[in-house]
Amino acid sequence: MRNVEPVPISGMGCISAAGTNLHAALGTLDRGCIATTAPPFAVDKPCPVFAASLPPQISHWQNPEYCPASRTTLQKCNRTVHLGVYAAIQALQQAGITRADAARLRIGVCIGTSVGASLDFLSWYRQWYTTQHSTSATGHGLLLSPAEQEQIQEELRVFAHSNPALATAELFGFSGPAVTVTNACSSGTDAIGIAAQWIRSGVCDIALAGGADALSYITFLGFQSLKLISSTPCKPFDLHRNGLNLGEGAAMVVLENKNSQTRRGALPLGCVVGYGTCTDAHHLTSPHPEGQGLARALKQALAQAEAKREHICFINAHGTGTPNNDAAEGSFFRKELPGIPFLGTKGGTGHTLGAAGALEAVFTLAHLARQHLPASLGFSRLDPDIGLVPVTAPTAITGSYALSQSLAFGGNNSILLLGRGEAACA
Amino acid sequence: MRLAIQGVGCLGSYGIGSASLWEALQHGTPLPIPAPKTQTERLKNIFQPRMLRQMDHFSRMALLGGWLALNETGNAVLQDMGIIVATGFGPATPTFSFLQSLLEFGEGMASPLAFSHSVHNIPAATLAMKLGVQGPCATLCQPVGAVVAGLSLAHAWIAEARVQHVLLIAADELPSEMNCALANSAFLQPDEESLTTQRAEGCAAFILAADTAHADMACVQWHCTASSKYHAQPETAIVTGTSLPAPPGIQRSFQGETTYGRIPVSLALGMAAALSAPHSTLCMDAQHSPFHSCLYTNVFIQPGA
Repeated sequence: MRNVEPVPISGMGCISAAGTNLHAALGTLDRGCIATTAPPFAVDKPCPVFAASLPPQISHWQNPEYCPASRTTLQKCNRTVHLGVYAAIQALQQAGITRADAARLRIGVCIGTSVGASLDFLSWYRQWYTTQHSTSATGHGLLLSPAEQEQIQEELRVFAHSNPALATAELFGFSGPAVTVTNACSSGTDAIGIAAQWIRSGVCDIALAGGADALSYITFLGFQSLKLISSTPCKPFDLHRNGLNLGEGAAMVVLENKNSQTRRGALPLGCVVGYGTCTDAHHLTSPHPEGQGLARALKQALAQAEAKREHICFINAHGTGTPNNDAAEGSFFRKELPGIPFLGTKGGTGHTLGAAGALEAVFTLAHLARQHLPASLGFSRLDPDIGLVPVTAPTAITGSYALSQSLAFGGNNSILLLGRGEAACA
Repeated sequence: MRLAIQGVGCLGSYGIGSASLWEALQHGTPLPIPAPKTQTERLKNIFQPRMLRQMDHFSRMALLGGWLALNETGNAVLQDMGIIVATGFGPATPTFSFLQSLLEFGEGMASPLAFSHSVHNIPAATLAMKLGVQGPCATLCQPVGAVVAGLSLAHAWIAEARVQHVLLIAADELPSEMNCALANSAFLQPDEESLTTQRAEGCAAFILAADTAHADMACVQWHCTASSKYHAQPETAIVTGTSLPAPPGIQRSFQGETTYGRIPVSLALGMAAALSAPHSTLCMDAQHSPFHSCLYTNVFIQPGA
């Protein structure tokens, strides 16, 4: 693994159940608020979820100075894309990159998602299935009203317009590469890692990178079928943890090469100094119990930065609240990163799947900037098998580097090593 | 950007192997109607049956394609290899199986197996487990530009010395539900209704490594543009995509999708065929984005000695 240049971050934006922007989300985490609700869809066994308060009217958040797409065009896209665009506008605004800049700069888009690329058109499938299995004399299956037919058409039309990276690139008028990463729950982390490489290799001047995912009825049932959902607010790393809560949201960062940043007079908020990613090759839906893939990913991330473990002042854990995930991370922390404080934020946001890695990278950069960690929500009792306690009270920190890590279905393990402010980018 | 190609494997509705695909292209062999399901029975001769148990069709195509490519290089590359799966839509069959289980048995009995296999990165993870790969794994899912995105990520991993080799799998499957959904007017792109090539499924796999500029080594070079202009003048062109005429001045050109069908990752099938062509070949692709802008991709394939 080669040592590489840090990649500056000049803008960040996010939306989740914890808040519609970074300031609001940090306030929620600081106060320890847990804002679960019932799912926004009817299910037989409702469990708490974390829904984002995206303003329902596009006109209330669309900002033509940054996103030239018309409301009609935006309406063709799904909620995952809307969440991503909402976070992207914040990030571009902070970076000071307007639509005029977009016309003259090569800007790439790399977005991680899970739900956002799934073929979940249930209404259409119900009609198809009924027609195929119809035993009626006519053989025509469901008799649908024109309105119902239109709803089905709309479901397909929206899917066709909602590949997160392709849609975002078109909505903002960007001309660089557009890539949608679907590495399950590490997608957001991987999207930022991939985009950082684009900047280093000169593929584009600026990259908008992050993750987005909306709550979905199908995904909710899928996780319920796997018995991974808790019926109470999740308890990452706690003795009595019994599953995750699904959430929704998006987070985006603006990555920019140093020349572009200097030309524009932009100050870096922080930087990506290292990125590691490795598979466990252990199990399709469970991590390696000792976090072997995580250890290899950590080695890569540190090697990219020529950094040492003692440079890391805290870790944002994946911390889903499922027994297997938290045990694997605990084992990894004990062995590879002993004594370094760690926290989980999913007690305040839920598990936002493809958005989670990006959302937590943004939180990590904010914690580094403030030199302050909030408490890990949901934790109260030590699990002796883990033998570690996450940060349980607001805590001051001192340091310039932190890790944000993600584990995923398929045995994916990805880690970002993030640096604080301008100094880390030097 | 440029990479060496050390191995290739491909399969699809047309059959198995890049040499047979090239031959079919030369003879203009049309795809049967309807396009047959890709046969992956050969896996039974390679892996123990219990290793293939419960494996979905997408993963089976990917595994066979990957194995064929690895078979050309030897297993030494596995020690320092990453896996990238590039796809237009991902594993469709498990998604529809999950929806079917939901309709037939209700919420409480929806299939956990189908759901877990519907997660887009499961085929990459399946390959990693079956082949014993512990390097990076990534899945890129987009109906436009997935193959080039995969090539570019492979280039990045190799340039950063993250790995020495990348197994790039480009695949899409076409269960009947998917075929029906894609034919719906809500899905069709502006020029699609006039197309006569039929949709199909398929997989092409490549073992990629750093380009050492060795004259005997097969290599791939690519670039994307917003126009249909191309720069090199190779002898042969394999035209994929939906609306691209054969380029002028080239001695031989083939409409690839006539033989291997219309697939989101059909560019990769063209690349695989080109590796059996005697001289450098230009694979051309043009795909409309959902918002109707067009992405042109030119991939130059230099076959090895």
